[in-house]
Order: sequence, then structure tokens, then C-alpha cells
Amino acid sequence: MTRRWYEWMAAAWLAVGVAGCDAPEDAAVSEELPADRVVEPAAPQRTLEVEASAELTAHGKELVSTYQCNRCHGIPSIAPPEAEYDCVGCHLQILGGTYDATPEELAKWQGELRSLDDVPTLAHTDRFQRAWLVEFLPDAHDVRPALLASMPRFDMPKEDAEALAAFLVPSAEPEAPALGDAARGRGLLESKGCGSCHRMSGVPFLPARPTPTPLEPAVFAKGQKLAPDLRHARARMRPASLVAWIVDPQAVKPGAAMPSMGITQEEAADIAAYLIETPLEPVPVLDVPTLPPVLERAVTYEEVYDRIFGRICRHCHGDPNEFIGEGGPGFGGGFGFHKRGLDLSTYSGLRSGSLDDNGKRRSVFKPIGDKPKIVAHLMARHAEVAGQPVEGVRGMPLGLPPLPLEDIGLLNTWIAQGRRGPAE
Amino acid sequence: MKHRGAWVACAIALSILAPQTADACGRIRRPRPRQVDRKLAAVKKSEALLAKGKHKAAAKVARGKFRGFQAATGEADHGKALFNRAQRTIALATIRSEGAIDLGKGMRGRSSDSKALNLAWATSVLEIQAASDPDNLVLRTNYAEALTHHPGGDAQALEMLSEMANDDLMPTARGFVLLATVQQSLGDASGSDLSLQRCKELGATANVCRVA
Repeated sequence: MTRRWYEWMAAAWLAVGVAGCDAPEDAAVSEELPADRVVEPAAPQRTLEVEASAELTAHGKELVSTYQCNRCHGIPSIAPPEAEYDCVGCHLQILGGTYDATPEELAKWQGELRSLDDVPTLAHTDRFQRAWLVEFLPDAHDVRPALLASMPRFDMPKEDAEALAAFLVPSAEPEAPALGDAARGRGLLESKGCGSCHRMSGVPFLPARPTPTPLEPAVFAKGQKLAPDLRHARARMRPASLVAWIVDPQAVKPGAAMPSMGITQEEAADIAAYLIETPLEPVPVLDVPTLPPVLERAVTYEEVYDRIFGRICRHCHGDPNEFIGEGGPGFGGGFGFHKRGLDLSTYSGLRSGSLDDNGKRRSVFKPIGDKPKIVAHLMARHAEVAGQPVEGVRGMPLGLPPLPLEDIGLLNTWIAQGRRGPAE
Repeated sequence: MKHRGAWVACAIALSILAPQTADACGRIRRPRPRQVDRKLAAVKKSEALLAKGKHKAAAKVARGKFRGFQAATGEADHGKALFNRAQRTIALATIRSEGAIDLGKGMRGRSSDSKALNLAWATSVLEIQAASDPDNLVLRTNYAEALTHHPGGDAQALEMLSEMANDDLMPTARGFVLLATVQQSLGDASGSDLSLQRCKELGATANVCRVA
């Protein structure tokens, strides 16, 4: 790479001026940026990753059990989870109508189910950069904008991340073919209709044009759901794999959501050049919302249960004595977290609190700062999504979008009003 | 201890009654998602009857579905969750009716000795379940309730219940009633009143929040 980043940026913007002339006006805001804007430079030169040691790879495979990766992801060399640990399998059974429940229950759940019905398999993961995984796994952020669920924020030491990354990406990195022309790459991204599934934050808007080859509706829908934000491609993908993927994703990962788009090797090199070398606008810093004021009306436990605990929380914080299943990672431990024993499926469970790091039970209503602990965790999820995680307070629900502020306000009101239980 | 003989008899009865195989023990096989155990409905019904104070009916419903309920193995196996719930419901019904529950042959709950034997059985069940899951405060409260039905058990129950109350971890309104009852029996009238007040703050009715 001999050009400086600003030369690439100028070339890319020039290309946008030509190829993107019919992009929606309201979508081209990012082209009008202040002169003193700080941009992320093009990806720096990097050395190729060597083969991971067999010992580290084997340790990484063991850690898959600790972090329960297979609870959501299919992994070729790892056995699928037992049924009661199989989050995705359970959801698919509900959606498919094969789960053994009453028609009324099925209809209700099918209407409410929004997440964990389609999760990428961890097959052919040698296309990823091991170094990216080491950074990403302990500090996961959203990569796929249209997918509601994202990777949980694990409590994962770097050594574990390195071992897991070695297991997922054991091979040495192949030499990448020469990258092409980024300006042409930008034009190809638009003319090939990449923006109909992908977005690429940090660059001028990628218009959603039709793909040259019409896609089956189901393929299109799946692609839209799973398509990553292309800003991450430079850090996630090994350049050689990126080019190969653009040419024929099905050859790299058979069954991948992205179909082969009839892109030549030369075109792929151009697109890869744009994805890797175009400077990116920084990720915007979002405001962390504040907790709504306490409501004046009375709020009952039943209302809070229906809106929050029964709909969301009990999936991970249940009691195996009460429900089919093993209680979830928030009860018996899982995803690398130790046992918390927090049962949010019943009022008595809620009142029983959760186990702290020393194994002592603590009330979930004990204040953290100016909020009850349970409310602080829900608000912390908003902060995480805004890119400002709260030190020492893990956002909940783990790996899911934050609860609406209205719902958190409801819970806070119920607590402020004395957190009365159901009538006995 | 007044019921020492009953405890010994109970232990002997358990050793005889304990089945030799898991299935004969009434163990519920770990259900798969598509095999919802229909016994759940019976357990829920039994629990609802218990909550309404219909102790005999509660025990009868649970007994009907869990023939091996007398075996108190206390295994911390969540595959046995439903069995444990049923057994716990029967044990609580037995405690709340002072042992006057028909638990089967030799444990009809009619004579004073039989009632004492039943109380001993129920207490041992609740003790084993609480010990097998020490983090479960509902089970701890249940065991404290059983202790209050035995001479000398109040002090231990007071310690258990007070700790939960002081840490804002009392799981149920009934727990505060138990605490109030024990405090009153030990002469702590103001403590008892405060516990009843906290019971009401949980939303339980005045009918529930009173010392019998």
C-alpha cells in the first residue's frame, strides 16, 4: 500500500461523486463534514498471522464449553447442546409450531419472539483475523445491524480470548492478492447492489440498489438480517479471505447467507481495496438516555412481570424447579459467568436476590448509585449500546437490545412504590 | 427431645421405603422440550390448594401423581425438580396440619404417634431439600417453618428468618409471618409487630399477615 490515506479518501469521494450521483439526498449527509473532522485512517500494514499452536487450539476448544458458544452458534467440531441449553433450537421449534405447547401459547410466543432464531454458524472461521477475535470476544459490540441479538459481553480474560481465537482460526494466514482500485470498488459496491443488504457506517451512504441477479425472497431476507456492517470488514476478515469471499462466498462457507453475486477476481480486489483502505468516519458517540421519572399511577407486580420479567428476564434467570430447562446462565451459571442463583420467574425468586462474587446473597433492590441494582443493570445496557459501558455493572439483558425506557421506568416505579407482590 | 422416637422411626421407615431404582423412586426423567410433563399441572394444582389452606386436598393431589413421594433422597438433581416440588407440597401440607395427613401405610396421621411420625418425615424432607440447595431461600424458609413445629426449633428458625429479613431477602410474606410468630413466642412483641408490618408491605392481606 503506497498511497497515503488521504489520497485514498480523495479517490473514494471522487468515486462517490461519479457513481453515487443518484443516491438519496438525505442519505448523503456524511459527505458534508467539517474540515477538521477526525477520520479513522485506512487499515495499517500488518504481518500475516502464523499458524496457532496445537496446544492453544486444543485449550480453545475446551473453552467453548465454558463459554457455551454452542448454545447459540452451530460449530462443526462441537456437539450441539442438550435440548434445554439450545436457545436457538427452542426458538426454531416455537416458530415452526413443533414445540409441545398449547396452540394459544404457541401463537403468543410466535408473536413475541424476535431474536435468536437465526445465528451465524461458526464454520469456516479461518477467514477471520485472529487478532480481531482476541479484541472482539471480551468486548463484543454489534456487528450485524439488522440482527437483534448480538454477542454477549463476556467476562473473558485475554488469555481465554486468545485460545478461543486460536481454536476458531488455527491456520496460518495466506498471502493476500494485490488489492485493486478503491474508487472502482466503491462503484462496484453500488452497482452490485451490496447496499440492499449491507450498510457501511463511516462512509458516504451505500444506496440499496437491486442486485444484478434477482435473489429469492427467503435468501434476500436472510441476507438482510445477517449482513454485517462493512466498516468492520477490514478488521474482521483476512484480506485474502475477503477477496475470496466477495468472489464466491459459497465456496468459502457453503450455506452462507450471502449468495455468489457473479463478481470477478479483479472486481473483488477493487471492492476489497475500498473496504480495507477507505478512511472511516469515527463511530458517533451517542447520548446515554436517563431514567424516566417515577410514575404517579400505581404499578403492580403483575404488570412488571408481564412486561419485563416474564417476557425477557426469565429466559436466563429462571428456576429449574419451576420451569422446564436448566434455569439459564443467570441462574445456574453459563457463558463463562459463575452461578448467580437469580430467579426472576417468581416474586419469591426476585425477593431472594442474587449471589455476589463471594457466593453471598444480596438484594437486587440494593442501590447502585442512585438506582436499585436491578434497574442499574437495565440502564447499563443502554450505556453499552451507546458505547459507554458502565464499569462494574453489566448491562442487561445480555446480548439483547436494551429494554424500552418506558418499561424500565415501570419497574423503577414499582420498586419506589414498595415493590409489593401478588396478592396472597 | 420429645419426638426422638418418632425421628428414629422415620429414619427406619425411609430406609425401608426408599426404592432401589431411580424410576421406582418416582424420579421424573429430565424432560425434553417436546415432552412437557403433564404432572406439572397436578403439582401446580396441589400448590394452589396449599396456598388456599386446603392441606389435605393439596397432599392428595400430589400423592396421586407421585407414588414414591415418601423417599427423601435429597439429590440435587434438577431432573427431579417436579418430584421435589410435589414432595415439598406434601411435606408443607403435613407441617401445616400438624401431621394430620394420610401419607400412606403406617403414616395415616390419625394417632398422636402417627402425627409425630408424619411431622418428622415432613421436617426431614424439608431439611434435606434445603440442604441440597442452600442458596434457595424459599427452601430455607420452608425448613424454618418446619422447625417451628418442633420443641426447641424456634431459636434456629429465628436465626434463619432474621438473617433473611435483615438482608432484605425474605422471599415470601409467609416468611415474615413465621418470623413474627417466632418472635412473639420468644417474647419479642415489638419485633413481631414490625415483621407483620413488613409482611403487609409485600402486598399480603391483613388476613395473611397475622400471628395465628
